Amino acid sequence: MVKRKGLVINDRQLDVCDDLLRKLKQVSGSTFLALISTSGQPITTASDDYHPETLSLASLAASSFAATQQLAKILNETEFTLLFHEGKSLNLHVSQVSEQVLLIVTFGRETQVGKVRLYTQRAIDILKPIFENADEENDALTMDDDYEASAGRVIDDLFKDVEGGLNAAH
Amino acid sequence: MQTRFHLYTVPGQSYYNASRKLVLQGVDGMIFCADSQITRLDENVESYLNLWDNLMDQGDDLTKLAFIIQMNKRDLTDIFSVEDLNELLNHTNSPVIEACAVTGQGVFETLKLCCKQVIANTG
Repeated sequence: MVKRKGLVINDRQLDVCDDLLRKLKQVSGSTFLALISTSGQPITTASDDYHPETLSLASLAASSFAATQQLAKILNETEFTLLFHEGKSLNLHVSQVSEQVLLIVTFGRETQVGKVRLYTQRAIDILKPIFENADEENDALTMDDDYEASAGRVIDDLFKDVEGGLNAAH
Repeated sequence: MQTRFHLYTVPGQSYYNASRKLVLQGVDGMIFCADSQITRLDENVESYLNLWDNLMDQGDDLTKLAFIIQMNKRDLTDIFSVEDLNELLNHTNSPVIEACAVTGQGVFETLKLCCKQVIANTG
């Protein structure tokens, strides 16, 4: 049984991740990189010209990865830590960084899979402790006092139109 | 600060339980949409128990999740009263909203309440 926790990372940790993704992109010859949570939330991305729809990509990659974990269970394997899709012009590589974080890498046919795997693994070795220690480092962080009130106002505004429309329809 | 909600639905049939489990990973809030018809009681109870089983399997603290029970199909005639459905399905004493999906009654109200509960539980 895995206890689910919230994922909190601070600005300094995010800067380290951004810097590392940029370097990984450079040395591995990949086109797009994203760190996402296993629940499908994007954390940060690195890319130059290629900008896929990150929100959908993160949700779908996380669900595919979760499906592979279920496959592992059925096959009595403790874990599958890698998901790879080979396309005609683009490849997708999703690997597990920590219990709660995945790394998405896309790269073209001109880049060797082995090179991507090698540098990705090296990056994971650096990223893993950042996320595994994130809880200890950020335990004291709390939301601003007015967060609930301000988010509540945004939600009220968001639903004002649809609720108004429904009342008018009746 | 930006807040983003991801909305997912789960398959109604319990033999898709593996898919239900996947969707529940990382969940912050849930809406249990109950069919108010008397003939659908067994399916409601089965889905309700299955939901809690899956949440406990993944180690969730049930008291920290936003949970709303939506009683759907209130426009039909052969239905349980709200009090009866409450007794049958609402052991957590969660907020209940009466709804009718075909007219939209209570639908956005449910979603709005769930969003607000999730926000209230954050931090």
